[in-house]
Amino acid sequence: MIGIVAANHYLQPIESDASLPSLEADLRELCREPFRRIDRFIQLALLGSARCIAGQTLRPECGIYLGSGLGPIGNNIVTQQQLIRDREIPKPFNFINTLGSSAGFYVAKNLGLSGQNLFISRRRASMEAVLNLALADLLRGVVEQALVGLVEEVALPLAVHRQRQDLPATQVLAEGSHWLLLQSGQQTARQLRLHRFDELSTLENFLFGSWMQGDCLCCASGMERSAEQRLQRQFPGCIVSAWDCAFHDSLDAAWLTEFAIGDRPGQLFVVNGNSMRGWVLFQLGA
Amino acid sequence: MAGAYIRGVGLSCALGENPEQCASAMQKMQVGPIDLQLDDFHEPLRMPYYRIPDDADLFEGSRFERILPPVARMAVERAGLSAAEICRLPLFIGSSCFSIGLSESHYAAALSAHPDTAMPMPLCGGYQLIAAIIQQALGIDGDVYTYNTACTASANAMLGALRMLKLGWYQHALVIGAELANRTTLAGFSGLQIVAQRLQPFDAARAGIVLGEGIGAVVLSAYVGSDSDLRIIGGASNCDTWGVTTANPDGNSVAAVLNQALADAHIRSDQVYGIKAHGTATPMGDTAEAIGIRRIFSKTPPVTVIKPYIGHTLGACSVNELVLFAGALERGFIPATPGFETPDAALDLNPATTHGAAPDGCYLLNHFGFGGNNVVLVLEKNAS
Amino acid sequence: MDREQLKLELKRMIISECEKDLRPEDIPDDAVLIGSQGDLALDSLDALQIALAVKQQYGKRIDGNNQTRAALTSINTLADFILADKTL
Repeated sequence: MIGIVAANHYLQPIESDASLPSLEADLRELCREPFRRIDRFIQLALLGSARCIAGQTLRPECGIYLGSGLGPIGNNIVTQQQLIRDREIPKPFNFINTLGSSAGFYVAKNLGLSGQNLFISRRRASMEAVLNLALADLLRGVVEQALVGLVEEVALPLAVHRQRQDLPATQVLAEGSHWLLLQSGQQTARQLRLHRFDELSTLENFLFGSWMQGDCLCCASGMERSAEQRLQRQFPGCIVSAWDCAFHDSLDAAWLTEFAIGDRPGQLFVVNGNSMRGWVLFQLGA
Repeated sequence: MAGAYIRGVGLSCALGENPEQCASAMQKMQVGPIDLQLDDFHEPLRMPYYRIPDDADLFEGSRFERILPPVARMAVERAGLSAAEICRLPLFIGSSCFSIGLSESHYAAALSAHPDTAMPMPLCGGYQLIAAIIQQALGIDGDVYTYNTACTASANAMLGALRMLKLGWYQHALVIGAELANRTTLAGFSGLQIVAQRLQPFDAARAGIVLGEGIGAVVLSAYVGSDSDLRIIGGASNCDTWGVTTANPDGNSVAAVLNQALADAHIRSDQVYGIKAHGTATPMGDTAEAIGIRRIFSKTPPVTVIKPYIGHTLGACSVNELVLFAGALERGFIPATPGFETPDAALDLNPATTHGAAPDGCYLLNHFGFGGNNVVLVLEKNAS
Repeated sequence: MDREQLKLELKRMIISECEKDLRPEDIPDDAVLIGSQGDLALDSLDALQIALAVKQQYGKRIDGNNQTRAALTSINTLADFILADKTL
């Protein structure tokens, strides 16, 4: 049994090229110490994780599972410009923070953690990848607590960032930092279960069997289109893409954190997959 | 299931283009970094570098598609998986560079064509790119996990694959370590002033790392399917927040992760026959590792460092070094550590200077990286 | 180059490169820059960052060599190092 002990998220549409909203006042309030040498991606990770934990003391061996499709894109841009355009050796702080393990390092330092600390990517399905790993470790007893986060940063100018991601010119972009604290053997209001299916029909049968009035089904962004249409026909209330107002690569995580924070009755199902690699279903319920 | 069998391997590194060629070169103690000079910067950079001996320009973008798929294919073919198994094979990739070299080439080309509108970091989601190259070339459509934890990346990938196999979520897993030459890494480490002229792990005169490139692949399986007698039986991963670039030299977090790995594998320290150390040859890194090891063992087992043969291949080092180490064990030797000459009394850890015997038993594989990441894997020889 | 002007520039550079919450006037010319016991509590990573900034701005190389490393002792020694005709 895996319980959701805490959840929170930061989701901010970015609609102006003038500047990104400053996170420093929030971080001063939320961090144990003022951190230097951190980039925006790290700031977002610190902000989201600290809000999720909200002053609770975690077990030092709690694992960190950070996922992102784009990673520290702003810092990578600065570093690549220093290197290729300006033909300079990258500054040490910039270079170190391109390596990916920095954000988890500062989150661990801020929360006093010394357990496993991972940074995983699976482009737009990064949420599925980190949750798989966290749940595997919880189920095997490798960790008893897992802090799972999805972080995406925007790099200005917006038009270039849309072009970089092959997004239409009208697409609103967002920054996000979505976090869940999971614990094994914990009876909480919200439980998280993972189911894997080889066949879509088996998944459908499972859904019919567990469906209760007021439940909600979401198809993650990597879902095979024809399967999505089939599920929509079977479950007419199935929401497919309510987040198209403001996009980032790990927006699937917003389904889970939003639902976990709120007091909406019923269960949330998030499904992803395709007929080749099979289907994954996250069930968030009582 | 008590572990994951190493069922097929592939490797391309400074020593050669397949595991046998590399193991033979290592047996002959062949060590050959090139003298690399980069004129791309205001001040030219010069350093030794262990490159894959192809004829291409070191930064040519096409190297990704040319070098990655054959190594992965080698491992998958040797594992003897069925077409259906290959199709659903999950991919666990560890890298610190991912496709950054390709991204640099695209940006440089765009800058010379359109200096005003050239877009930096043009290949967004580049973590996924090398996975896509491998999947496409091999016809794989399984789950992908790309680990981005600096120098422990492919060690964490091995550990993740092992745990999912143990859970029964997968029967087989393809684990890849990928490091190909790129300007960001070479210039970045140069700015950190930790690049030495030669690799001398645990030596009193050790002065830092020498970088290298290499692609390694391992197919792990939940059951024996070939004549392999090597398996990964456990491991552990933790995080030391003492410093972003190095573990605490008091060795505490290293000792902790070693203990966790032994516990995970259900073995005692006196059952460990040998250690493949991380041995970056930085003054601080080797200190933390040596003190941590000494704290666990009343009598230190034989220690070897693979990096002097292929350089520090960063996020790929775990898989690359595992393939080499496994090749040596199968040939019956623990590799000598070239470059180790003068013991450091403060470390009291002395890798062998000649190849040693490799009996059946358990071996530890150590990995440490930026961001405080420590990973130890436990390898068992002659599991049956 | 005017020595006082240079020292002010160096203080600004260190504050900006190392993201210290200080004003230039908070840093005495002889304050110890590097080390946890130092007045600014900068570490070896800060030293590398400053070394690269000095190299890129003034063309002077500070490396692991003890003599050049000593240049990072204080603002005074750093200014002397930059103003010296030859690298120490």
